[in-house]
Formats: sequence, structure tokens, C-alpha cells
Amino acid sequence: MLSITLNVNGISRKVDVEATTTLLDVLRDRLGLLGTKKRCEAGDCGACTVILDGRAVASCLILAVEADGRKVLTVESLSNASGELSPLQKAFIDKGAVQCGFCTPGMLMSAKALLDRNPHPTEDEIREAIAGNLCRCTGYAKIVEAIMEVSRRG
Amino acid sequence: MTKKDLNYLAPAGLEPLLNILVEYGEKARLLAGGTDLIPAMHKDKLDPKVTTLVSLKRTALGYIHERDGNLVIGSATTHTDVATSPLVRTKAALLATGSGAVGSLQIRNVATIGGNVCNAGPSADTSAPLMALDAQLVAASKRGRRVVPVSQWYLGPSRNTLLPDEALVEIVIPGLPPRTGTHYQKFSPRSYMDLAWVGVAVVVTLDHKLKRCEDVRIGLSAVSPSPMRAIKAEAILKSVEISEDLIDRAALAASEECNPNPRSRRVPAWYRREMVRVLTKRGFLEAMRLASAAV
Repeated sequence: MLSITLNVNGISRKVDVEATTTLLDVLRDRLGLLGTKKRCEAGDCGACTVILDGRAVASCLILAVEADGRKVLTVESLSNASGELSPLQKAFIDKGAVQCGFCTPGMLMSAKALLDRNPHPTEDEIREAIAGNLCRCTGYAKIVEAIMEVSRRG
Repeated sequence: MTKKDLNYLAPAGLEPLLNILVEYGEKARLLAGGTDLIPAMHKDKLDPKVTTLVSLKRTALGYIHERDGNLVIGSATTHTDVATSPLVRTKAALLATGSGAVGSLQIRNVATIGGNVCNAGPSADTSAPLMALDAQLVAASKRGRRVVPVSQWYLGPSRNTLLPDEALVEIVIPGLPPRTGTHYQKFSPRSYMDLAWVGVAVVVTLDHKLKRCEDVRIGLSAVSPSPMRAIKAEAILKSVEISEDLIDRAALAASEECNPNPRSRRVPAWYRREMVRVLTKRGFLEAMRLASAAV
């Protein structure tokens, strides 16, 4: 067992992990943060996307030990303490960008990583930023619209 | 989760890492970004000899700088850093294009150029650009440093020349002369998240009158067991003054000298050859246009 410390959503969390435990499994199974989804475990679907030190990453492809001492943001970080949704989350709802919802946490984190770096992205930049997030329901148009909307309002 | 129990080491610096490689030999597996290694681990496809993952994260091998007129990239530099580096975009634009074409942003944010080179996938997006740039790969071990021209690096699908006690530490890209243009095209049916069906990289240096190729190098990926140079096409392009007929002949030669997998379930070999012809012509024209503008 290896002892690591992660800063998850602003809170320092100490966990013991195996060398092969992924960051995704720590978030879901050890810290109970079930917003981050687990599906392909190959970096293809983007459902497990979190933000690691400011960059969107597939948490299924990162060993927890490799993230030792680093800052992780999950979808749970978006709403505030009283449960109020962020403007990005509200835009997803307003624009109908959520259908079955399985891709939504990953989409939101990819969108947040983009908007944090580039508050007014072009449509092409948005499509590139979410290219690694698969959605089987929406056809992406409404998701792109939602992110554009946040950019306009911001 | 893998069923296999593995140990994990994260040596602080290159020297301790090289000591570990001497001690563990083939039992050690270097871990860079992990985007190929971890899926292999999930599927239990890791070499059964491997007992220990050796992380590069504390070896300070993520950097991009200029040294003696060459562009030098540390092996643990992420594709995002390569693709967005102003230095790479100026000195080796086609490599920035190649790194920017890898997988998705989530992958590029952690996957490294050294991992791409060491995993030696036939369709790896940095391979054709590095072939066309005539890059030098620096392997370090306790025995010293060994510089391998990229043309001698790849030994077949997923095989490279690295020995068990060596680590790839640096990629050195020779500075390009004036009147040089570069271009990389990845062709795949989807614009994102897809392996290249064909990759064509071209580096052209024109003569003073902009009429002849002083030098030209064409790198091809995904169309042979390892990335390759289109040597015959290059020779044709260097032979006489550039004309459309010359470019057509060179593009045809490239399509004939490549060696696509005849049993590929992804892409028929004839289609890959045809795309090599089309993209070699297109890539050469674009690189030539950029070379004329880079006077």
C-alpha cells in the first residue's frame, strides 16, 4: 500500500492505494464522489474527465500515485455549498444539453477546463475541447450551444 | 483494475532511475503519461515479466528549449505542451501538428512525446514528423548516452531499439535552414479520437531561385510495419527542377515504396497506397508554398 495525499475540490484527502489503483477508483470508491463516471477505462469515452492541476484528464488513465500532491477538481466542485448550480450547469439545463446524463459530468469538466483558460472560445475550440467526451443522446449541438451561452454571458 | 500486483517507484532524478533500470532490467516498465500502459494493464496485457512500474514524474524530463541551433524536447513533455509551444510551432511546425492530432485533449494533457516514440505504434502521430525532421533520439543508461537517428529507432510494430537498461531522455531536432517549409497530414475517417489511416510529413528546403529542392524528406506512418522515409520519392524530387509532373511521379513512387499491411482489418492496403499518393502530392505542394514564404 502507498500513502498519498490529494487535494480534491479544495480539501486535502489522505488515502492508501495500491500501485495500480486509478485516480478514478479513488474518487468513486474511496472518496464516494460518484459524479465522475466510469465506463470505457481506455480513455475513449471521457465520462471520467476531471481537472488535474488545471487540465482536463481522463481519470481512468491516471494512477492515483501519479496524482499524489496534486489538485483534482470533480463535477461535485461546480455547485456551491448550498447546492446552487454553477452558470455552466444552468446553461446545460437551459439549453437541453442533458439527456440521459451519463456524459454530463465529463462534459462539464472539459467545458470548465476550457472556459477557465479561454473564457470566450470559438465554436471550433469548444468542439475540440469536448472531442474526447462521447455523448450518445444529444448530437453535441446543444452541448456546444450551452458552452457558447456561458461564454456570452461571462 | 488489473489483477496483477505491481510495485511502483518514482525515483527523484535521472540517475536513480537509471540505477533502478540496471537492477530490475526487464522487470521494470517505465511509466510516462500512462495512456497506453494503463489500458494495457486494465486488459491484463502487460508483459508478464514486468513487476515494477518506474515513474518518470520526478525526473524533470518535461522541457522544450533550443540548444546550439537545435530544438530539444525532453521525453516526458506532454503532447499539449509540444502542440502549443511557440518554439515548436516556429522551429518544427509539423511536429506541433502531429502532437496536436493525438487522441483527445484529455489524452494529450498527460500523454508524452517520449511515450509516443517508445510505444512505436505504426500510426503514431509524432513518428512521420520526426522521420521527416531527421530527429535524433537520446537514450541514457549507466553506460552513458547513445544517440539514435530516428530512422534506426523503430524495429516493427511496438518495438524499438531501446535496451532494458536504457531510457529515452531527449529528442533533438536539427535546426531547419532558410527557405524550408514543413507539413504534416493525418488522414483518418473521424477528425478526432481516431488512429491515422495514413500519416504524411514533408520537410522541403528550396534553392535560392525557389525552383529546385535543395533537400526534401518525406516521412510516412501507418503504411508500413514501422514509420518510414519515402526515399525514392525524395530522390525524384531532388533530381531536376520542380514541375507538376515531377511531383506526380514522386507521389506515385511514395505510394509504391510504402508497405501497408495487406491483412489490416481497418483499412485495405490499396486505399492506403492511394492516399499516400494523394497526400504526398498535397503535402509537398503545401510545404513548398511555406518554403517559398520563408525566404
